[in-house]
Amino acid sequence: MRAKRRISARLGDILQRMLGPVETGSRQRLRVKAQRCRPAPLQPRYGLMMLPQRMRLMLERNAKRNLPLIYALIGVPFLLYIFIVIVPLCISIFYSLLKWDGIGPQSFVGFKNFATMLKDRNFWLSTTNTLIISLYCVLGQVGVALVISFLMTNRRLKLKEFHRTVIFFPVVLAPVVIGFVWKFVYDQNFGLLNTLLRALGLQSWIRLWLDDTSIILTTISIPVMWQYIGLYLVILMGAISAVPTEIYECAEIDGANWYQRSMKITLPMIWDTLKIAIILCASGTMKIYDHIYIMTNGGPGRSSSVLALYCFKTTFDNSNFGYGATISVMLLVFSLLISWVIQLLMGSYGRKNA
Amino acid sequence: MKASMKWLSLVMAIVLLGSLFSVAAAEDKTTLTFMHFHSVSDTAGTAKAFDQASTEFMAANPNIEITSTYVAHDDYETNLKVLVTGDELPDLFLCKGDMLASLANAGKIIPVTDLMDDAWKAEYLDTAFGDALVNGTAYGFPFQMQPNAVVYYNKDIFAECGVDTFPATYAELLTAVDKIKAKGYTPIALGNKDQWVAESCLFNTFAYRYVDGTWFDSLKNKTGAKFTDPAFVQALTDFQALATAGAFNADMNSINNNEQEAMYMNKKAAMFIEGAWALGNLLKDASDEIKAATEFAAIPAVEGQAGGVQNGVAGGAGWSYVIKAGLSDAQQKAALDFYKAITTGNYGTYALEAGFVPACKTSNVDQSKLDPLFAKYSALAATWTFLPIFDVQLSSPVASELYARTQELLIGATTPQEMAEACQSVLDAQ
Repeated sequence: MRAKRRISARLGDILQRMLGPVETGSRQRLRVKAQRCRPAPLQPRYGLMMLPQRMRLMLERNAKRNLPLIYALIGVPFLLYIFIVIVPLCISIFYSLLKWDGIGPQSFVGFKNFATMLKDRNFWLSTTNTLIISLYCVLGQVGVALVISFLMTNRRLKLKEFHRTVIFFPVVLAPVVIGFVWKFVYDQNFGLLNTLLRALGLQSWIRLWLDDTSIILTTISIPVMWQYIGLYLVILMGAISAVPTEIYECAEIDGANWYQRSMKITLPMIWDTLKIAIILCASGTMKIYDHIYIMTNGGPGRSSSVLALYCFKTTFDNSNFGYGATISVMLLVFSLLISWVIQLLMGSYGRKNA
Repeated sequence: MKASMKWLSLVMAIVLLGSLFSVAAAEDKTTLTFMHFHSVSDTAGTAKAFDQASTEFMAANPNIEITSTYVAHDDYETNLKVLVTGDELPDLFLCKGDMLASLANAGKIIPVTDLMDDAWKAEYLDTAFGDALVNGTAYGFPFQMQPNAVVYYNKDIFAECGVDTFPATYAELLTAVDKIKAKGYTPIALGNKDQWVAESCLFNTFAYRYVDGTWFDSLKNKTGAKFTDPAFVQALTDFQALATAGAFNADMNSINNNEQEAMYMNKKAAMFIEGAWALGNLLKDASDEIKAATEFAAIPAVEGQAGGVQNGVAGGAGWSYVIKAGLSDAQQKAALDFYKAITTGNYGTYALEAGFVPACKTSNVDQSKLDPLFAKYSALAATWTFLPIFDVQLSSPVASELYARTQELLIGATTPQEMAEACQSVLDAQ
């Protein structure tokens, strides 16, 4: 009986960790502040308590008897994850040590591919392009989404649902579709953008949107930003809706304006979510491929080449599977590095403010 | 869950699995998988002729079942490479010349020279197997013999701009470009987003005004000739000068070859240069006015280049149908019958009617069924000498480097010397 209770307690603990965000310093502080405003204690809102009572009781009561079931259920996705992520990853790392054309025999060359890579002008060009696009996307996606989500907290704003749906809409489209749509928007002769500029009498603004190497990175970043603003908006709005409304009411009574409420309450309260959003955005943009493949195919020349596209072209167009794998390994390293750097920068800022 | 239910679900799962195998055993048919790029919805050119010949074959051979997979032309090579790597090749497939050698050397496809009898061999044009050879043995069946570079030009636009005859030399072409530009037309429509058009259809033949087939063989076999030879670098320099002179549309790197044809058909461009396959699209889609104004020409000669072939054109079969190694005897026989039907016999007639030259000899063709435009083209093409296509004969890494570098050359992102050196270093690494 005791063992059973211990297990159920641990299970509850695990579930609580999975379902509810961990309390952060800033949130605790704000909660104390909120309690000062309104003495009634806050109901626990997270973790097991969020499940319907019947399900909660069933889980707790049957925890021990259902252990095999629980492990089986966790095991299936775990095995899947191993086979579709971990195993291919290890194979990729192994391939990166080979010289292999995909058809003939493989020969082991050690770190020779990595040495080639260090001197490869196109690799570094693609890396720089990828980093620049990532930067654009973090600013253009999370940045804009943050501003919009602040605006959404404004009570005077009407039709919030409508705005959210419209902004979220492009997220559900396939990147290939977005690529084609924007290829037509940018088209020189009958594209939406140039037609609009002509109609407004702004002929001098017309540029060779997809052929001008000096602006190409900006041109191809805009569709990507446009597509994913909605995703981060929904994530950030979700975080904002979890901030107890009492705090805002208090702040309003104290005379805080919209800007102060956004900066002093919303921002610190959603800091962790913001951090996750930025990491997702930066590391996700490192993999960017579809949009660019459709719009420019890395061109003109190689001026819009990004790592994933360069990896693909090296592997399949040049039949250099070993070197292609080397690039993909570096892509992984860069993504991890960026996530780590963001974690480091934003983590310390968060603590300082807590 | 009750125990009986558990057992029941297990039994049902096994039954479900078992049903997967039952399909294969049932019928006494020879089945083959086949991958190609002839779109069924395309009613022009090679696709139309293929469709006619293969439908005829299927009707005549109900005991042979061929499951076809269509992959769009521009994605075809990539798709094929993925299948090769995963060892999931279809039994029969179309293959471009630059991949044949590596597939043949790895033993993935079988040589076909000895599988044909003499009568069958005699049905093909003499040079038809040029792009299907690996060390002198044929590994595939060609279905077309097309030049990669035909200049399609609108004589009305030329007349309007004061250019009475098509420029015979490079210098005249530059003058014509200026005149056409002055009237607001694009001199040469170019859609090079997919990178092969500028290299394969324009530059390749242009380069043959400076170097010849012997030079190319020497380059390919690494017996002396190099990309960095002065004549080749001069070809690159003059080709870049054409772009600098504004011969092409400014958005050349964001549109593809279909859009380049569209520019011509919409009368925005005075000419475009593409393989003879574009004629099929022109016959199908162009207005009568455009068709009536269309004339054909070769890429102009370059004066003072003794090493070049002034009437030469890069061209040939390019692609050929190949057979995967390890098929059963019945499958192999069915495959050969199928390939015979879709490359020779009636196919030749269908090809001419669809507006392209097949790889087989043709006889008893009803001339009245042929489009006059096609007849005009055939008469001109008969005077040309076919030369090897760079991106078919060289291995695919070199071809890709040529593609990418030609695009960079056109926008001034690389110099002719740099391009030559880069291509040579990729070739040396093979």
